Amino acid sequence: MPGRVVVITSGKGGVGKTTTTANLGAGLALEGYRVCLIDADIGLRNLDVVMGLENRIVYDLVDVVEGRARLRQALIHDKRVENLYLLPAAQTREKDAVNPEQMKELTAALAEEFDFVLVDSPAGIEHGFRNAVAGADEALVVTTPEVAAVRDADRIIGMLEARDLRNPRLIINRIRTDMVRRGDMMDIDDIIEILAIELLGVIPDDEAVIVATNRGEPVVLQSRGRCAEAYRNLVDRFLGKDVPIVALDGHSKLLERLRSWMALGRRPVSG
Amino acid sequence: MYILFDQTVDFLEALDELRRRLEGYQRFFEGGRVWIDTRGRSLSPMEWRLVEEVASQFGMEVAEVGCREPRGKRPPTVTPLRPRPASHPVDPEATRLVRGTIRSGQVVEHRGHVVILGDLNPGAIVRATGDVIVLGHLRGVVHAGASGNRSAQVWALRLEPTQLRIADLIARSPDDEHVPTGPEVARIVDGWIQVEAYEPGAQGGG
Ligand SMILES: Nc1ncnc2c1ncn2[C@@H]1O[C@H](COP(=O)(O)OP(=O)(O)O)[C@@H](O)[C@H]1O
Ligand SMILES: [Mg+2]
Repeated sequence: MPGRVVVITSGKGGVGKTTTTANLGAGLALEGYRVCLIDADIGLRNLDVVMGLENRIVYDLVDVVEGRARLRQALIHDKRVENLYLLPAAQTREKDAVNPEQMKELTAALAEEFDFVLVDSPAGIEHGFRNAVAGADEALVVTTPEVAAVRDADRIIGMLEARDLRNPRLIINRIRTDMVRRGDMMDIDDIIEILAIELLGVIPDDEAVIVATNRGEPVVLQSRGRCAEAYRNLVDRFLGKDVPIVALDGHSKLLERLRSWMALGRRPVSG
Repeated sequence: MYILFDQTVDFLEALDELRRRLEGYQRFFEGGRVWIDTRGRSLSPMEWRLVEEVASQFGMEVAEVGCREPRGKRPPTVTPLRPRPASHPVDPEATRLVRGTIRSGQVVEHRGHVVILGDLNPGAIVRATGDVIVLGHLRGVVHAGASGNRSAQVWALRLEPTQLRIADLIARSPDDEHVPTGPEVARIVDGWIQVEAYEPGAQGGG
């Protein structure tokens, strides 16, 4: 059975797609799954930097598509985690060096070898987005708790649905409980009420993420820390385990209520 | 009423949703006729029966089941069974039913009334020559009576539009946060767009 091709997307840039891809991928690989990360942000690659694999790149995605390298040659094996591979983007090429048909072929070939193929999407809704979603079986939408980011997430969800990526799931990144409590930040239920999709996880805003990123080491690999925990939680929920969304002191009740509300929206046909 | 079944959606699921949404609005659609557009998908005799059942449950009669081929943008071309005065601005039965959330960047345009079975999110736009009814949370932009019909109305279970237009008038939400507690209707009263709580029976329901 081929693996699942999952696109990580957002609409607005800088909300944490690349960080999410790196951590979800590393987390899945730690669980023993075979995982390949694809950096589809051609021209602005940075998944390799976040993974600390920049100095190992010989070939990239465009080299594979244009036949200069075989897929296996271009895949970079992660230096820490068994079963984790990266297909880097080309730094120097234009976005239109690849088309959706080629991306479909590429992801299909990878899905033969891997349990999960995670595609890190570029920002925006144009060519790069079409490439990133081309071969995807499912989509994860990342947003921060900001009005503009949520608006763009909504836009993207509409576009995913139009492409038959029906039930995209949501990751809310960089939440700050202190600001939410003061009413200075959008609440989780405000966001869910607008986007009306399933919430897969909530990641706190934490400088540990930035420090880890600068070291080229996904934070999920750390043994302790609330972000590492939040990402492990995300991995579990992604794998279908019924774990509560990371307890954000006092917010779990609210989340329970939200989840039951979501479930209600997908009530089976009664007849 | 004009019903469009989305091909990609499970038939029974769509039907169930329709029934649920219609439940609170029995009187509103009573006596109406239903046209069904299945966008190229043909209905089995069983499915036919189910649609008729739901329609009759709400006092409506199935007039026609069409299987139009999918095309880019399709304003429904519905021929009413009874002739109407040509000057009538809107055929009250040419209603477009849209199922699901209308998201940011999406636009619904229609000659006639529009019923949304879901939310209208910020950044989304509905433009209709007739009334606009949102069986959900209206937070986007709505233009009702878009060809100049000042008697057009906008209904919503939660009416919090970014901006509201009826005919040639424009209104925006007040800056002090008014949070609606129930269904509301917006219409033109004395040359202003006014919003009031919807009381069943109070305004003759379209
Ligand atoms: N949960 C978080 N807490 C703190 N900083 C974060 C978090 N998630 C992402 N960041 C930081 O935000 C910036 C943008 O993240 P990135 O994953 O590159 O976004 P995108 O790929 O969507 O453009 C990076 O500097 C990253 O380290
Ligand atoms: Mg990125």
